[in-house]
Amino acid sequence: MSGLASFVHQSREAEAEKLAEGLTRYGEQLIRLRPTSVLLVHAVKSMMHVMRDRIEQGQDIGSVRRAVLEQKDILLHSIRSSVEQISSIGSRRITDGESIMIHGYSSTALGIIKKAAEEGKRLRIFSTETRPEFEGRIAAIELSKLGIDTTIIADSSSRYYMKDVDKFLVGAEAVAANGAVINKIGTSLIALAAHEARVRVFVAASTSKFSSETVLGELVTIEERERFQLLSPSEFEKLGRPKISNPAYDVTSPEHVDLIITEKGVIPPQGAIMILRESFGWPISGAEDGPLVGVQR
Amino acid sequence: MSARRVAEIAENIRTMRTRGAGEIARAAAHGLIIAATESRATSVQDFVSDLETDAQALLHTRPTAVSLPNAIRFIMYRVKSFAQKALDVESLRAFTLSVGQNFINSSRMAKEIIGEIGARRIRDGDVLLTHCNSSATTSIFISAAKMGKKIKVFATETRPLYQGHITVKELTDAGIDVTVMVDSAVRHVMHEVDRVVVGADAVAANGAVVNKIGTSLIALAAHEAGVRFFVAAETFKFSPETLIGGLVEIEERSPTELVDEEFLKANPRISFKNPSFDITPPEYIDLIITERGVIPPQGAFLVLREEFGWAIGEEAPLEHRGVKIAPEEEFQNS
Repeated sequence: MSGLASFVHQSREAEAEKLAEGLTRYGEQLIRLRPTSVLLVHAVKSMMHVMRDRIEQGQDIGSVRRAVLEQKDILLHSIRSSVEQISSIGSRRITDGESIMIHGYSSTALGIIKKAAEEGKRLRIFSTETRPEFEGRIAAIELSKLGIDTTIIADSSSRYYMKDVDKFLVGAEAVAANGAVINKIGTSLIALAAHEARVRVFVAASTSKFSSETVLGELVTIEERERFQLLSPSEFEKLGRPKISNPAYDVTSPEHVDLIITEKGVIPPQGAIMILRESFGWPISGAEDGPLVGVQR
Repeated sequence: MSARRVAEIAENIRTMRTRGAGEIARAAAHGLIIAATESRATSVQDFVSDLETDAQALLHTRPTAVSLPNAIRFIMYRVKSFAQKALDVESLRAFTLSVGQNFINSSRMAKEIIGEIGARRIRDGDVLLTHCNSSATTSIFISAAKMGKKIKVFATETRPLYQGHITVKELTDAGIDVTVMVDSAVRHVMHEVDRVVVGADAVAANGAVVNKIGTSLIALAAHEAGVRFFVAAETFKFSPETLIGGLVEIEERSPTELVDEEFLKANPRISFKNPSFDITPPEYIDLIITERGVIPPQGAFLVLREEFGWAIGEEAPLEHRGVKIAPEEEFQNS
């Protein structure tokens, strides 16, 4: 989002139409890089929408630019305030003395834990290291600095420690219309282990992460990340040039999700369609929104 | 002379100069062969008691090694029942040597035989998934490939020590199509997989399998997806411990396998848990492939009874209760 803003800021285009074209291309590029991020798609679309609106009204390039930048601030503000709201709503679901497993790094999920700790609840956190990028270490550092009892485990140990855990709490990259949750690779595996052990699975996700496109039966793209995150180029050669698969996300079935905590309140995964209806109207129209669908599905 | 050489073998097992379940089992069998060869006993009874003394000495070396009591039991069980009807020391000695040699040979052949038996369970075009590094498992994949079956293997990297890399290397060397991925991607790819094959550090009497941490999670994902889950394990890895209700204690290893010293120093308040193994329940296991044939996990008890003569209600020696499963070999990422 900041990228889009600085694009607008730095653009030397004198004509609004040219600026719009440039921004569209830039937005499409960003989406191609991170196709799974519904939040990004929404942000790009909403900034484009504001810009088109102003251009159609015949405003000059200066005010178009200002309007787009303002829209960025509005979006950022709404993201921040929804994290706060989710933290308060979510912390009510956490009880004193609980053990919580987390996976990946989600500022929303961490917000809930921090809020609960602030309220004086004593928690024990199991943070998976989260290969290949070890985001779980960053989450552990943040929580331990706040004095929260935090333990790092390998991703593979999640089933081993599930019996010691009360809840599994994660964020989301996207929530599909059927309540399926797209999140950091491994989430669906741990959610399955939680389901097996009858441990509750909570997903913290603002409504801006709910994906309208899945209503039409389209699949959310799972990005493959840089292969050399798994093996260094020299290891790759040493191991005889194997194939490398490095999916960034996986899909957790709605049957394995107990609750989704949004800024509007707590919903079961089956409630995802309601959120979409509220945000996009009925019939849900988000998918036909604009040209920003040049994305490989 | 005899005592010194058996003592030498015992010392090597104790100090971990002899490593790996198979090597330990064969060393113990070799120890009993030496003991039998050099016994000065003049009666059958004295011969058995000489052997028993050395057997006890060997047993005490590494209470954590599952294969050690099995090797000794395999021989002593047969020697003792033969002794009932043995007429003289010489025939009992000859019998002991042949039983010992038989154990050594069959355990040495075990991997190859498991490879052949297991490969018959792999179909042309199968997509397989494995975890960690198990020589019995790679033996199955390589045999299947040699039979001309076109297979594709997903290998997890296996944190924290990346033993999956050894598997990858073994398979690329054999010209097998192999894809490496993070451990947590297994459920994501499970819908493409036909069979999961893993090794075992120990198989309990109820068919539960003790293996590298993460195995039980993969078994769960396979179970959910209706994908067959095979375990390749030599019979000397079957542990009688659960016959008497003992629990398997899982060793926890150093946090430095998860993060470096620098991270530990910078973050003194973070705790770490690093278990080496987990236990896969028999409900998630379809077959155990041994050198004696293929059994369902429920057949583990039979293997213990038939091969090693363990009986219901029999007490294991005190030092073998609550067997602590420790890794035989540390992986060096060279």
